[in-house]
Amino acid sequence: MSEILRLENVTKIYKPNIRALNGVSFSVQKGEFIFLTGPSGAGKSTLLNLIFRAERPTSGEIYFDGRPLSSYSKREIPLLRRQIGFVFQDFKLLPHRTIFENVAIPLEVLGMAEGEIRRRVLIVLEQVGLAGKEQQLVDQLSGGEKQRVCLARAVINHPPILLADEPTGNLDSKRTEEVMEIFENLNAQGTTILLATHDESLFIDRQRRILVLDEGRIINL
Amino acid sequence: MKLLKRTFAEFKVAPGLYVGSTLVITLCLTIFAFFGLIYLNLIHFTKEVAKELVLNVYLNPNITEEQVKKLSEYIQKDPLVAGVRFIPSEEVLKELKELFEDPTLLEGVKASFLPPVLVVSFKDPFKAGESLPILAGTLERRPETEKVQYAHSWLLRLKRLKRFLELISLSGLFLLGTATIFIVALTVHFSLSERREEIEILSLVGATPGFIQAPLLTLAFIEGLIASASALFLLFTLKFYLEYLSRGLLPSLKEGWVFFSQIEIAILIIGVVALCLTGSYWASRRFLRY
Repeated sequence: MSEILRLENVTKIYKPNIRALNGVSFSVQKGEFIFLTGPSGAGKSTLLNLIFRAERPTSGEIYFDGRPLSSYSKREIPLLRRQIGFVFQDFKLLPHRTIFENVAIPLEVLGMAEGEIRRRVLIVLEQVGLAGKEQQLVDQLSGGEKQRVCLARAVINHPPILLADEPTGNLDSKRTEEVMEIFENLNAQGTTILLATHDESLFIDRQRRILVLDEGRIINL
Repeated sequence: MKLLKRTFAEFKVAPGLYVGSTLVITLCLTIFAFFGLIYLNLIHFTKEVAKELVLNVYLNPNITEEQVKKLSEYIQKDPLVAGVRFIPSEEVLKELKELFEDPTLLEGVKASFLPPVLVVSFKDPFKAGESLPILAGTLERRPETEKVQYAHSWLLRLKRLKRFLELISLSGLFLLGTATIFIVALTVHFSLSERREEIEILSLVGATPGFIQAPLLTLAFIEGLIASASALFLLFTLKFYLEYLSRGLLPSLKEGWVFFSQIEIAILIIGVVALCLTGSYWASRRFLRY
């Protein structure tokens, strides 16, 4: 396996002097499924945001596919984000649009033909259990359904790596199992997954690598 | 085609927002352009009134037709002169009778008693004002003339009035223009603030600034175009109504109100569209998360 992601001594300090991450270093191999855990405020979301280039580290470097993120120009950031799927904790869905429109965005951005977009969206909605609901407005969905729309949007263009920030935080145990199964299937198809959660039950019986963050430091590899 | 589809989809998401902001921009522009129109017409009317002030050259009663022709040609050589009209004594008497209305006042007055007149009008009376005393002096010294008369003091007063109106109107227009620019920019900004979440989300899922901003800029372009066209249409209608109301109020208003020239209209439309585009570009740029 080759390396897809590497963090070297990454520190993030928010003003005035809040140290969210403190010298974090680790690497991720292609095809890995890693759980990032720790208590609330440990720095899990900050870490994912830094990898996604939604924020910049105060010091240290993050490498994606061998290239330092600091070398990406503003113009190149959209290209980077197209290679990283992100399941946001707060979904970040377009509220007045349909499920279809939301899931189709990453493909529209690529300038794909309408027919191909339709075909791919319907396939991915089937995978996340939302088949037949494509014309429903996002406003009218439950938390679990929104989470699955978010997941469908994150994986529609087959990114090599998927970041998920508390993807089961709003779900009951049955829906949580369904969503975790989708993640397992995606990983089985070769997608690298970095999943942040504070819920230990998600990874306790799974033979997966676990990174524990506490007060901005990795305490266990 | 794809861009138009995306622009329409963008409009469909918040039609009230876009219609509302277009109406606000239209209203601001109409107010600004209305005061511009008032300024334009005040200056126009002052010029028209000034044009009625002419130079009267009273001629010797025994002047020959040849002498009148030569003198007319001499006066017309002056580049500021618009035209010279000869009024023979008979016509002077006729005009006086029409003016006095009471025929007994001019009873016994013969046409030969009244001097014939050359009425000199000017292209731009305000420009001619300064050289008028020189021209009048030259004409007065000629043997064919008896007296030269013109309302120099009135011309000066009108000139000052025109300058005063220009100052007041231009200052007002400047303030109103600044306020209009401010309100239009703020309206565009606030309408895009409502779209902030969507702009942020699009930039997070890999959309380029061009992809995100293209439909927003297209909508801003359409907004500017519709707003300026509507404001000009409203103003044009208002101009006709004002023309109807002010008909007969002043003899100088015979020609009616003037409207903006084609260049002024083009500048207004281009300015508004450019303002909407700039406002939309910078407002949406602020919400991009790169």
